[in-house]
Amino acid sequence: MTTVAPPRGRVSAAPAAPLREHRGPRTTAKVLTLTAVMAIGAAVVVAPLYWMVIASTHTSAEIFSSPPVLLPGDAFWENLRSLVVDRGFGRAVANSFLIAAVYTVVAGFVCTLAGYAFAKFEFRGKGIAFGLIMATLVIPAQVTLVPLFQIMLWFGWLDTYQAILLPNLAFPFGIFLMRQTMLAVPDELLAAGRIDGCGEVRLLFGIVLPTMRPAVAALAIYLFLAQWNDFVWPLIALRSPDSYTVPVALAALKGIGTTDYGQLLAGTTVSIVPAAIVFLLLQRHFVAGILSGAVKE
Amino acid sequence: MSTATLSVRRRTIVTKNTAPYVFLAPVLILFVAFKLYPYVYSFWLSLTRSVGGRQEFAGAENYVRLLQDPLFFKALGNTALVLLIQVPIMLALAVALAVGFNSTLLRWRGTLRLAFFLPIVMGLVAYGILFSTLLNTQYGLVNWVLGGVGIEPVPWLGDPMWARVSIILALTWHYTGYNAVIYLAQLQTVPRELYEAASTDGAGPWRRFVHITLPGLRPAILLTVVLSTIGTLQLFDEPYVLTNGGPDNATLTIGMYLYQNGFRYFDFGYASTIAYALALLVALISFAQFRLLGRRS
Amino acid sequence: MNTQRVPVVVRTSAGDARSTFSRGLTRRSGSARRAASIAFVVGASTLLAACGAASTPAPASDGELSGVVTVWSWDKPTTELQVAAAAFEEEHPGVTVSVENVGNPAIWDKMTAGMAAGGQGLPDVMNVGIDYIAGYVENFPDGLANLSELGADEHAGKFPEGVWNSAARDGQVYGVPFEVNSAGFFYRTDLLDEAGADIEDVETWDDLVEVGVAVKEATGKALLGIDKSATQADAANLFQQLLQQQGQFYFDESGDITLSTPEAVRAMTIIKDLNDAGVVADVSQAWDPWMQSISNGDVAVVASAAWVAGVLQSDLTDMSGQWGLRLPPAVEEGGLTAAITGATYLSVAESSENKQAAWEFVEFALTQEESQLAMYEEGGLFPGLTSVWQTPDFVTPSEYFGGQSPNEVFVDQLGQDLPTTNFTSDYAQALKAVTDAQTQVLLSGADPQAALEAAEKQLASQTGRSIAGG
Repeated sequence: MTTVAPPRGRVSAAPAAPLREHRGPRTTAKVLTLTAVMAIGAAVVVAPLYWMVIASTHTSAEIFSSPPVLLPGDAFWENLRSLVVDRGFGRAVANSFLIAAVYTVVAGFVCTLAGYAFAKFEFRGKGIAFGLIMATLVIPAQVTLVPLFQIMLWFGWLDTYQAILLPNLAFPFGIFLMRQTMLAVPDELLAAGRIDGCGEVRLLFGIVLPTMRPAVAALAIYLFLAQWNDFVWPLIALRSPDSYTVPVALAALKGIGTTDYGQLLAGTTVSIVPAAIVFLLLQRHFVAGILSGAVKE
Repeated sequence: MSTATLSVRRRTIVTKNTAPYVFLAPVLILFVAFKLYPYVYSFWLSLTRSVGGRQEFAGAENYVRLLQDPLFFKALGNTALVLLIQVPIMLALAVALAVGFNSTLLRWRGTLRLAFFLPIVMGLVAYGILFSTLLNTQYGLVNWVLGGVGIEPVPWLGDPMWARVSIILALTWHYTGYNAVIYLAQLQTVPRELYEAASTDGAGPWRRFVHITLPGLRPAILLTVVLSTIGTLQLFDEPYVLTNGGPDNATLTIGMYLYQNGFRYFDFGYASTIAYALALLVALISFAQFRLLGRRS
Repeated sequence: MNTQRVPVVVRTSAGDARSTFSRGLTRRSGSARRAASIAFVVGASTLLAACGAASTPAPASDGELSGVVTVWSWDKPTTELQVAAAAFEEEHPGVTVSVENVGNPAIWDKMTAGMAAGGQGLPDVMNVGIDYIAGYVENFPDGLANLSELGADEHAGKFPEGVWNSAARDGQVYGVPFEVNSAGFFYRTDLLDEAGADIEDVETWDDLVEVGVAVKEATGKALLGIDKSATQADAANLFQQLLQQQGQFYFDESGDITLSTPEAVRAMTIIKDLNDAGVVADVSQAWDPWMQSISNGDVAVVASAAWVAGVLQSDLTDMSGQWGLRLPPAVEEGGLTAAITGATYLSVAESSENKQAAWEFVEFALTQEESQLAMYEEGGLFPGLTSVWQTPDFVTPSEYFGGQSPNEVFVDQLGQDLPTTNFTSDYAQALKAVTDAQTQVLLSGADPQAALEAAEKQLASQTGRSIAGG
């Protein structure tokens, strides 16, 4: 999405700098208490992830030893090597990344267009269209798997990237988020643009969207994570191991017999790294994006 | 209408009047192509029974069966339990976290925020692998830590009551940070002057929380309550990867029961019936929540 | 066709082919010319074997098979099937067999979606569990190919009858047995000695309860492990085995439900007695915890299937000499001590565009002793092809089991007149109902009769089947 918006002055999306309060012994004690409580909470939350990273550096036998492993071992590269060489995991990571990146850009585009239409235009059928999109939220996905599979058969699209990409491009929460955000765009701005001879397409991409970078960043995170982690549909729609995504490849590592947990947890660790990086890069925008978007009344 | 707009109208098909339809077109095409057929098809399936592999019209037979199905009501009860216990706990924790993050007293803000949000990047498969290893009764890290403080091993996934606790803990771990970010964004729209004025009037921290913070959070609370309700009623991932709905159906959710009937017992007609009953329930409850919580006080 | 056992003459030539077969495998990475010549030898031997059995349409004689055959399976069976695939490709240079490890349970969702979409989007060959196959055949008539039309019936006599029939409907067969779970009973000789118990004196499961108490007192170890909370679908395997040992099952031959018969209540009561005596450890049926309980020495007995012999010898080498084996005790004195509690199959997709090659691969891999032995060597899965059980390479005394020959013990099962088990298309639901009942009995102390009656009622309403005698 960011490629569509022309570069503008940096919109600072970081939360407003906290006001400085009077420093004193009581304040210092409060700072320590609050930070300590929050840090303990954070440690509890991060502990499982820490253990996962540690476990990925051990062999299966070490992982199931007692007491459990708590410090890094030396099997990580071997685990990773067997994943990549024996299980073709590198290919799965590349597939996932490509699919998630393309999905983020295209779905972002689709959701932005729809959100804008719902926010800034009055037109016949608006209520019905919005209702239809929200209805997709209430129907459980499991029940649509088989008919969707049939559609892909008709199109001859099984085992293709478009089979994974297309069905979920119209992401209801994304449309909702963009609509809420764009409600805040003043109508006067649009009217002024039109008077200046600005076309409707340029109005959206040249004037409205550049003011909404944080919302776009939030949308991008949602879309990327949703696609990166999607499991059941890719499992069913992808057929050859060459086209597997990361979750599907991970599921194939689990059998009913011996499972190599070192390998499996190394794969799990690798699987969350790209998602975590995307989140890290966009998180400052994300907080502000939600701020300008979903929670407006 | 200005001449500028008229000249635009001559040049392009995207005018102020056609724009909403053009902008919505991708979403509507995608809806018709990939959603409409699955919805209609599965609704038709819910009105049929399978006879020797062929679907025969059965009227409301499946719906009547649903109303007499003890397992469906058991699943409904389990889901309601999560909704009534886990969702309030999670949202309360998230409010506390957001208030903490919003405090001027907090240090290491960025790092802590990342720590609390990190679980959300984890997908279904990775999550299942990690938690089933951690919660292993004999070799899991959790019981080892508890053993360190003298607590007997807990059968996390092997006892009806504890399995429910495990699901609730896993859900809370996964989604609290996500909700906290939404609250945090909302809190930053509450003017700091309000707090300062209240302090000057002698209001303590609790009164400021009740009279300023909570009312300020209302839109965000509505959003998260509705999203959590939809997510909980469709709950599938956690029981699917952690408990398989057991033991003795203690963690059987509606989403899980739907899946079992379709993909385990090949009764796609009945699975569709459960899906539509669930969709109705989700729609009704979400609607009620909007009416109850959305009202301005 | 059932009576057609492989003649002795053929078995000799098959034996010759076997040695060539394995050589061909090890040299596959060698020069192309050598590989080709070996392929010729293998092909010729198989041809010879095929000619011996008069009515067999010689699979190698047309030699014109081509294209790709895709196979879906999961971990261990995948490695076994890759062995067969390599040998098959040597014999049919025009065919590429691609064996894909889809993972388990992921494979079931993937196959079911294809089945439900009119049998489309499936691979050519599928590895299907006994809990799925009848359901697939019943519910998705376009899913699995009728193998009888492709000539499968001639192999019927080579497999346990009940297992063969479980993949058949109206006399037509839709899957060939790959591996079977034939009941096996393994015990720790050292722990039993410590408890002063003589396993040979144990005739019935009731006797075993006493042994369990003695073991517990002497060593503090549990007698055996059961997945009390039913974390896995096959958590009630022992219950099912006890029921089958009484000549009964969840369904009778006409498909009516028989979950609360006196025999079923007796089977559940045995499990309850074991549990009440405090000699049952709660061990998940999932692979890793299950293996852990054995390697840690938490249990004195593993009452499971014959394939455990292979797993113990290959995965727990340091326990050599600590194990003995026998057939399970009977429920009543003089009763059956054998049962076949489960199996997997290879099936061909009806929609396969390469059906003939797919079928010939299945036939090649599963109906010939030499293929099965090579596969067994690789993966250690207990084959459904019964004649393999008697071959010299299969029945070798093992130091691991103190000089006992594991497979010879299991061959004895063949001599017992096992009743045909009607798994039906609703086996998956029955399994669920039964494991839930077992969990209620073991974790909440429910009464076996009441729990089974409730399970029976629920199963009847779910499946529309009637309750036998009800």
